Amino acid sequence: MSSTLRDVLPEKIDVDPDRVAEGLAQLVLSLVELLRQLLERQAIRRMEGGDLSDEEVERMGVALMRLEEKVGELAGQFGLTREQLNIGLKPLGKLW
Amino acid sequence: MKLLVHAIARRPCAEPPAGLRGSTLEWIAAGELGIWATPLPEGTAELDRDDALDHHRIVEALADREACLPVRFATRVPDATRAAVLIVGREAELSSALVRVAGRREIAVTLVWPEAAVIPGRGHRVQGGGPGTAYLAARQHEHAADDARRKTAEDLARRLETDLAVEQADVWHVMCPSDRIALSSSILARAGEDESLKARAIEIVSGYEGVRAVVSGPWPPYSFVGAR
Repeated sequence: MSSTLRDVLPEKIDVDPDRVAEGLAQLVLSLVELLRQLLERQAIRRMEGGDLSDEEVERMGVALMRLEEKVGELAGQFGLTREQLNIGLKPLGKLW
Repeated sequence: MKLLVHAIARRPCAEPPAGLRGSTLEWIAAGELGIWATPLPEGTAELDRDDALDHHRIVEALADREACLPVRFATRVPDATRAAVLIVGREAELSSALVRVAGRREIAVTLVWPEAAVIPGRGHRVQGGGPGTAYLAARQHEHAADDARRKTAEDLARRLETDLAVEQADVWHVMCPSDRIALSSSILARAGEDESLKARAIEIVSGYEGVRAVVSGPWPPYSFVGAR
């Protein structure tokens, strides 16, 4: 494994072969949650900038709200809490 | 049989402490460095809080005998070959970290928000609009509050560095690691100066307004195991 790749790999992914599914789920869901939060920030910026109509704000808000619920639901199925989706990326720190 | 890894060191010490749950600690040589680990027999129960404390005891005892780099608790590998993989290709980085932490301990400073300041933006509700609008407005309020908290934490971190007059390389900050905590800092004390640094830190942070300070240690240099 190259040192660059090793440097950015998360610190807390469980690589125990018996729990690889949970480790993978944690990694994937963490990335989904990060993207969801970025989308949310972007939506808020656009809302603050007056770029969105009331209807668009409502639609975007509902979509982000449902996405948040879905991520929580999937995390729960793997026994993960929201806090556990905030994994540590060595050079960057926590995701959020 | 798995191995629970505790620390990386340059050489084995003469009288190592007992391993986890009283078993014998194993030294796994890997090139110029090596790893201290406890063999975990098949069927070993899940690791718990007592094991975490035991891991800390082992790391502390090893650090008292010889410079070592603590490994995160619950790091398990299937065998000695896989344990060596933790070191291979990182010898130079780990050796330099070992030189850096030799004979040194870290002091932890945690600054906690007062109860009333915990997530001031949470629970904000707006009037009008549908649930989507209310959701986004609430999140907007939370983000603004989070940004303000992070800015305060960054200011506190800079102030702590200045007040303690420590080298930047000897300080490791984590801003807002949880809802309750503003700042979690680790300061690497110079050899033999850990207690005086701790006393100085207690005196300095007790004067910080808007946060409650907890100073602990000295600890093995958990926060300074990697190259910075």
